[in-house]
Amino acid sequence: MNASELPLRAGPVVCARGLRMEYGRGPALVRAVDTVELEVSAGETLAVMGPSGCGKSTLLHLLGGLERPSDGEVWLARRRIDRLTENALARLRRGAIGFVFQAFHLMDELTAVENVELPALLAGQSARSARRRATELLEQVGLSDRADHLPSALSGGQRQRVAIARALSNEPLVVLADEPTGNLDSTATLDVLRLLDSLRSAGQTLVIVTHDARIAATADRLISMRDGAFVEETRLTHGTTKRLGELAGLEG
Amino acid sequence: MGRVQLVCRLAARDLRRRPAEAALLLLAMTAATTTLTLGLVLHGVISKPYQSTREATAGPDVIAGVVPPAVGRRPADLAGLRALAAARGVTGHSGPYPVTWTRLAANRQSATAEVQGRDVAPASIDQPRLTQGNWVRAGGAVVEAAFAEALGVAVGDEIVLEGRSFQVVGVAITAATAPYPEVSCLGFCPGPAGLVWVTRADTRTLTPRAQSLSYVLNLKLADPAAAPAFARTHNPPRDNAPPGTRPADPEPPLLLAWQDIQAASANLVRNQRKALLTGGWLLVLLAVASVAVLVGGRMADQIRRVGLLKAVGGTPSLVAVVLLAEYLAVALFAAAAGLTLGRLPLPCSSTPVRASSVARVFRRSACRRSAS
Repeated sequence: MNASELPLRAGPVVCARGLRMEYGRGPALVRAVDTVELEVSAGETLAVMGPSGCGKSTLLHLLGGLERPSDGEVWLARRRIDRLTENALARLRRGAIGFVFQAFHLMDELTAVENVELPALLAGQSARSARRRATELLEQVGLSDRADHLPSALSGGQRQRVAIARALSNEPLVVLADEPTGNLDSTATLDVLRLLDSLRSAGQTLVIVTHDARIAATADRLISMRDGAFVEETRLTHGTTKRLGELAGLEG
Repeated sequence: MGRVQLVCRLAARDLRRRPAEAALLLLAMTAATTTLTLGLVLHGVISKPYQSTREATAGPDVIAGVVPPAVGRRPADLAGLRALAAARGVTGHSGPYPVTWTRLAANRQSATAEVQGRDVAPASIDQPRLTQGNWVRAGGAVVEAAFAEALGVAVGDEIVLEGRSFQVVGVAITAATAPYPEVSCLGFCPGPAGLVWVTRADTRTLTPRAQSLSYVLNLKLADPAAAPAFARTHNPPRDNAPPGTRPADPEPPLLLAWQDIQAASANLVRNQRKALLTGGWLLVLLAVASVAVLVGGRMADQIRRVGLLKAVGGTPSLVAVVLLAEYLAVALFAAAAGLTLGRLPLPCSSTPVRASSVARVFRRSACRRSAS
């Protein structure tokens, strides 16, 4: 399923109702996500913050269909996805969701351009059109000169930019980013922040899980999470995001 | 097309990243497939060539033999043997041929030889098929092919029988006895004996007394399938005397059906086939264990690959294909290599090879094919 095949871009793109995720039983029961209600509008950038282990990543996995909730519902563009088969979920992820992980999760044996074209090839695109799209995306993230490099020959920031380019390969409805700057130094973080900001400006729906205040500052909305539950929600102004560099302390 | 390309690319690149693992896997699987193939090929070897040798050498349906009594100086019951030629159901015969057992020395080796005296002219029944050289002549011996190979002798070499030197003039195969060391010698010889053909006159020179010669008679029956029944009918009742011990009275002829010789021929390779098949399966288990260890050792890496492929939209089946493709590629290559290696001994068997048992079997097989 391609993003363009889903019914609409207006209204909530991602929606969670009474979402719960539990591990273990009895006294060992851990509630990683506790009755979460969430709506993310088209074009919105949502940041989810909280300490390590509060359930941010689990929430992201549930929203992206990588894990199935213990209870509750997950909707993507008005389609309930928590009951879909594994194959249907895979097709959905292929076209409608882009993932960015803290550890980049690139295929070590593939070059940058081959990593970026991976989702397009999986979606059944021809090798030529997949390569064309991947080349465009690498150019967009400023890595066209590193297209034929293996991940091992790239810096952390470059790897993460490749991962972001890969997430955008099939023009997804939403990009789910899990600590995208968690493994990066300051300079690389700024590069990635700029890239995410440009995506936000282009109208890309983003859900970013982070415990980095600087990245949260780029969002339209900030949700704080603790012990699996939402504890605070803040709508940020554009003025804040426009002063990203200052907030991040990375520019003069 | 894009997905196929992707799967091939991922498999090829991952193999290239881990050449040592791939080589180990390839080695284990090739060894397993080769051994299994050898076992299966041997199965083919024992099931068919005897029949073709029988056809090529006008093999007898029944072989009858008499030995002189152990006590006293009386000859073997040749009359009783000749009487079998006129028995009901017999349509032809060759012999009786004189036989003696003696020590053979060649190439600094010695072995027991069953020396059979034959006419220079070809026989209508059991005429051994030459694989090298010519048929017997005075002072010239023909050695059974497997025996010749075990001794390492060929045409032109010298062998010594009972202190007398003979030139090897030929090497031949026969269906009248199982190949060395399974020579049947009708139960008269205590251990393995290789077959050597010389002229009748030369045979007589190898024994101090004419009375100590034994004789064999080759019979052709109207119904070859009935050979075991014919042998049972005409064989004397069995006693409990151990092999090689004989009473003073002349013994009646002992008979052996061609089916018994076929079984004895198969015995030679049956154990090897079992060993190879068992070894093959053990190697298969080893290969599986190697794969398990290699895969297990890479589990963390593979889990990461699974997660990544899942995140970018790989279906469970596609993820499985990606993970298995490289192992499948190695397995297919190893299977092809193993099948080729396992069958290689067959075409090579017509050339001289070292006298290992398996090589002998293959060589005999090839000889028989060429003979047929």
